[in-house]
Amino acid sequence: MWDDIERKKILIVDDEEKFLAVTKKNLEKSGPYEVRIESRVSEVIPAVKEFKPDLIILDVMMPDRRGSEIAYEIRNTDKIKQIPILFLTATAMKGQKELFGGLVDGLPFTIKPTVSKPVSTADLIKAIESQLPKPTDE
Amino acid sequence: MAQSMSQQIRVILLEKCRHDSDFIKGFLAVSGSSASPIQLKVARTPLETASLAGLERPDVLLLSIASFDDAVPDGLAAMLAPSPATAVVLLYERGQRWDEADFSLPGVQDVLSKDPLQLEGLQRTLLNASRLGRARSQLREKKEILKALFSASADGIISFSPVQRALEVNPAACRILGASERELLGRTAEEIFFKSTEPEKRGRAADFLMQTFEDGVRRSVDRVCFSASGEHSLWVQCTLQPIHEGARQGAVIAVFKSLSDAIQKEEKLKDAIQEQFRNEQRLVEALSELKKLNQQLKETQDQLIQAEKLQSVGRLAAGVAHEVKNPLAIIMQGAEYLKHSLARENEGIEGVIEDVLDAVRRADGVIQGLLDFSSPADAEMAEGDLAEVIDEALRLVKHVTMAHKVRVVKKIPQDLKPVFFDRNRIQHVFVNLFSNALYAMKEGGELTVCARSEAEDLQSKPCICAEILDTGSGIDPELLDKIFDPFVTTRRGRGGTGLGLSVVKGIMDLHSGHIKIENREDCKGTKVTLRF
Repeated sequence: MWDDIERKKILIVDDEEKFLAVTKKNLEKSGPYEVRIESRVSEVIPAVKEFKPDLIILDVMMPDRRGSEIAYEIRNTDKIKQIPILFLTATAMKGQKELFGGLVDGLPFTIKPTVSKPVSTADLIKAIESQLPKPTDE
Repeated sequence: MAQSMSQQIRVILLEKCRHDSDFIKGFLAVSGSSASPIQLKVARTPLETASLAGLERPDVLLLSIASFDDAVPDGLAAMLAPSPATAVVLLYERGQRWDEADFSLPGVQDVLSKDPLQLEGLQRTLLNASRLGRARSQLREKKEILKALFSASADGIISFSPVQRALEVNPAACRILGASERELLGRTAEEIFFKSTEPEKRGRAADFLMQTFEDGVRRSVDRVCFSASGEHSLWVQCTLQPIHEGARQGAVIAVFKSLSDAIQKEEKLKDAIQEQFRNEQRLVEALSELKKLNQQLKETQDQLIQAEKLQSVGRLAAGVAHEVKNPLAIIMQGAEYLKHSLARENEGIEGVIEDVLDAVRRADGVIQGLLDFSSPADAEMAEGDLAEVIDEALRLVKHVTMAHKVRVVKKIPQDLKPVFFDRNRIQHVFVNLFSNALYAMKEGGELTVCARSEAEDLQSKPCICAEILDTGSGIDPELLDKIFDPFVTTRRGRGGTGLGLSVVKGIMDLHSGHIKIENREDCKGTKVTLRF
């Protein structure tokens, strides 16, 4: 459907595999995206390195590791540090989103931009598009 | 008289001259056999006379002046010592002259001369002297009794002479007046009664005394100020008794009893009663204060319980949110997927899926409300215009306002002072309150929004006050008490989560503001007052 357009690569990281599966389908059906999903926290960095996504969607609350910590690692890893990250959260409270990442290495890590679950595909795409580099930027 | 005549008259004769004594003895014996019952004993010396007098208690001492060894007065005193009332008749020798001074000697009733001694005269003299002696003795006895009474009386007694000087003062009078006998004797009534020269301070008893002096009429007063000096007033029960009743300008006896003790006791009692009354009042005050404190304590406790409740809800909300929102996310994504995949094949499905998505959004709304409600205090405070926020909120509920045909009345002055607030949250407050008001006016009505600066006064800080009034159904009074409790709603199952007002209250608390919800008094409907 979107074959003639260059599809943006998006990596979604979440511990909810069912959410990943259906979201991947919805995104690929609704927009020019190539979606890869990852539910294992330990595999995130290798996946980023290998897949080289244009955008990473990262769940904040995962059983093994907080999304903020993963984001921190990405931000400190050469070659992938510039990839935009969109955070997903199921516990967003108004006025608190930015600090929800908590402390990473003793420093407050803000998670922004954030999308709150449950999210409609349309809203998700809106958020993705707002974070993807515009063609003119390239 | 007849009795005294029949009584024997005991006479002791002091006569050192035997011749003379025999003569007198014989003389009286003659008369004694007939009319006069005179018993005569003879002594030779004053000493013998004195000892005889002690034994015999004679009625008369017949004393020959010439028989005294020493001075007559000293001898007399010794003879009269056993019975002072004994009458004394002095006998002079031939050629001796009596002297007026003799009559001033104690007991002396008469003076006779031996030259010539007449029988009749002697008899009569002895009779008279003995009668007089007895009378004097009785008088003396009466006087003793009176004197004892006078001294022993618990009532104060002062006798005043006709010239209004104190003649006699008894110990009780001294005690009551706080003065010695010497200080009082001879003093005029004025000096005793009017301790103060100021007329208004003088005792009223003095007036009665003066009147009694004047008219000789007895007066008795139950309670009168006897004398007043400085702060001390002496209150007495007083009788003013003229010595000769009815005699004008006569002597008067004042008899009085101090009431000061009684009055003092009375006053002490009064004081005590008053003190007790004051104590009781203090007790009542303390009790009411205690009640108030108790009430406050109860309110504080209620607030604490409320706060604790809210905190539990908050903790619960945060925990539940994550567990619910994730499945909701899957349902939403899944439903959308189904919508795209199946809608074209089956026309009924799209509606069903839309319902599912709606349900997901509603469930998410509840969870979001809980999260907002439990969100910790990190407001983004800034100065802003309350009128603008109210306008925005009104715009947000405009579609409902129109649907319910509600007229909106706005009374907001142009120069409303800015408010320090979290704009989004306060907007949330107004939207919430407007929604409630509109929900209560489904059949139309009037929504009034007022805002004004509250007059500054000494008790409270100046503040901005906003009021939202509707003409809706009002609130069940039973519900008013717990209106801010979470999950209290009249719209259960019809879109109400019961969190709206809890969140509103939380936001107002966050702003150190105040919210009051009450039923209108002027008409049916509700009035919400917000203070910033």
